[in-house]
Amino acid sequence: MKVIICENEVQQRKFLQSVIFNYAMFSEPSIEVVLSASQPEEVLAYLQDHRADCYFLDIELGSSISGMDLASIIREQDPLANIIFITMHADKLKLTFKYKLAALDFIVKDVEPEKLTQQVKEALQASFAKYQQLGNSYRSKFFQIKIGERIKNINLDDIYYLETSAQVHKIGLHEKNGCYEFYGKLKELENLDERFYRCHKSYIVNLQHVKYIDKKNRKLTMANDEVCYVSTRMIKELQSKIAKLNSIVQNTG
Amino acid sequence: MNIRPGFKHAAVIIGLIGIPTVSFYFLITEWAGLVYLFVSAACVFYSYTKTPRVLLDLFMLAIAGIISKSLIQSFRFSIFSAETPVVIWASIGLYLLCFAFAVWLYCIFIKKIWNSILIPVAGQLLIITIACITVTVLYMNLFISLSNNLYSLAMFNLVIEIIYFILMFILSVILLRNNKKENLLKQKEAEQEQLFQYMQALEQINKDMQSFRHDYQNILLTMQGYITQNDMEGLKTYFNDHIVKVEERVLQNNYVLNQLENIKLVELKGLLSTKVLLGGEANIHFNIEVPDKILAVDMNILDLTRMLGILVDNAVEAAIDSEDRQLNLALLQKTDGSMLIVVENRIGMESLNIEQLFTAGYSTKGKDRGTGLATVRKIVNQYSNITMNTSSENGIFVHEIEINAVVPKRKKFLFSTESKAFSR
Repeated sequence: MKVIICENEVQQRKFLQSVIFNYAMFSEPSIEVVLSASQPEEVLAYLQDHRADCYFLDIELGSSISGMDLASIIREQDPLANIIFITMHADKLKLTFKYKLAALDFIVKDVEPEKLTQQVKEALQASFAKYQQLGNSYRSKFFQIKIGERIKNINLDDIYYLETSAQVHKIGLHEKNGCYEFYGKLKELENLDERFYRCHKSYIVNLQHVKYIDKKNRKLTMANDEVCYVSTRMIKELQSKIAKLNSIVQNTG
Repeated sequence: MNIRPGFKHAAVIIGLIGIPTVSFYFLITEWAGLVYLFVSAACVFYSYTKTPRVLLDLFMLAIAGIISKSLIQSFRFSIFSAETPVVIWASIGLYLLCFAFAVWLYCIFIKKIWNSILIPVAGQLLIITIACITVTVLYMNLFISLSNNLYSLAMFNLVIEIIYFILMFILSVILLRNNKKENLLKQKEAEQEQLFQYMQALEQINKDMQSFRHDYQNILLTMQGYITQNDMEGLKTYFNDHIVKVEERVLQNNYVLNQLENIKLVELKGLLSTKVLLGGEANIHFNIEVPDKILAVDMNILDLTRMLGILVDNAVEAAIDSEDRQLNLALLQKTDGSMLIVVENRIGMESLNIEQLFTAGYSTKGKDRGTGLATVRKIVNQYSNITMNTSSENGIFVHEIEINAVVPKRKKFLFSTESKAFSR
């Protein structure tokens, strides 16, 4: 994993470099610092014919280009880059970083060196984990929703059901920790995974989370006590699918 | 009518209206007499009073007359079949009574209405026109129904239908226009209210500053006390506890208001500044991020403020219960014109059922509280360009609302030109 640092204070830059170097030596040898710049222009020049995976950017660069501008340029070129901000006052624009620039993490400068080291290490770990995920084709197990520039990965296991909304082309997704809305059509989502089944013209349910089938009223109770509908024609197939899924789980588990 | 009936007036009325009408009625034709009666009466009364209301009064009298006549007639024919003189006299008496009653009702009504509400000239003219047409139609109906000419009857019906259709059309256009104006006014009112709140917020900050200034001297004196005693430790704690904290709060408030500067929608600005102040009073660390200028949002501004108000109120209440009392709010504008609103706060609870939060009547705060989020959901569902995400993870509760820019539809455009053409 290639790392770029951009920090105008010499001392800070050296400190960062050494922390990353140490971490690479002892934990992940594949991490290397390819550029340690004091000016954002250097980074831009480097990026013209190279690329990197992880960026540590100071926000107050003391140049005409701020860390934020630099980040948005990087983001334009490489939507998958991991950007980690280093800042004096972290929480001031936290949400902006997260949603507009899809920043991975923020490191607050004015703390004790040990704490700073710890923060840098954690950020590196997170970045490396994400880098590895990209390599393995893990992505099929997640459902991705884009919120602003931020991409949210939702584990398919956690999804209870998908439903059409009151407005056309808007789909509601209900999962363990929240509910989301996005634009699309249920038809395009029918073949998400073998666990999902379209049991009604406006519902796709996760068979793992069906708690109870009320055949008389054609209703399904999900694991979170939400109610979905099922059409008469689909009840039989739904039951057989659930049975099949359960047998697979039992065999493998 | 404020005419004092005198002998001269009576003579004029009889001379100009009474005698010619009777002679027209019996010598030429019946309808000529009636027409003359109306025209001359209108002219005479108008020359006396000089107000157009006289015309309306006259027409109303005529309408009252014809309605009471029909009423008495139908009453008479349904009960007595024979036309004895007693019956005729009784019905004439009843007719006069009924007519007087109608006139009396009209007098009361017009007295209350006419002076208390200022009706524009156009409106007055319209009302008079309607009354005039109605009288004409009623009296023509009287004569036409007596004649047996089917062709004239059909023509008459056609004319009536067309006239009333046009009238109805004009009235509904006026009604729609007024409705539109009213809505605009309501919106302006809300805007005014929010602006007022924003001003209050500014005032409050100014007061904070002033009170700080006021304490300034006391602070200096206390510090001097520490210095003369050479109590460095005491000075340090005093400085950190009293000066840094107060300064921080003032700075924070200033910072937040600076962020609000970027919002060019007065309603939104007003709402948020009030909420920031309220949050400050509840000792909540309220952090607002508005990195870009916000000039317009593709949703009804009243809906937006209502929705945001509910979300922020909820977040403030939750933040009060939580440990670090933090609330983050961001309004982010993308280059394509869409906007993202993020409301984030910490919650005390480890997990909660997100679905239930949106059901009306459910609340984590006890009974009779849970309509807020259900209302938000209802608003979001009204728009096809808005999506809302709600989630909680690691004790952080987040609402994300994305408002996409809408390309103006051709349909809408057509409608607006049409309505303009109508109003002209």
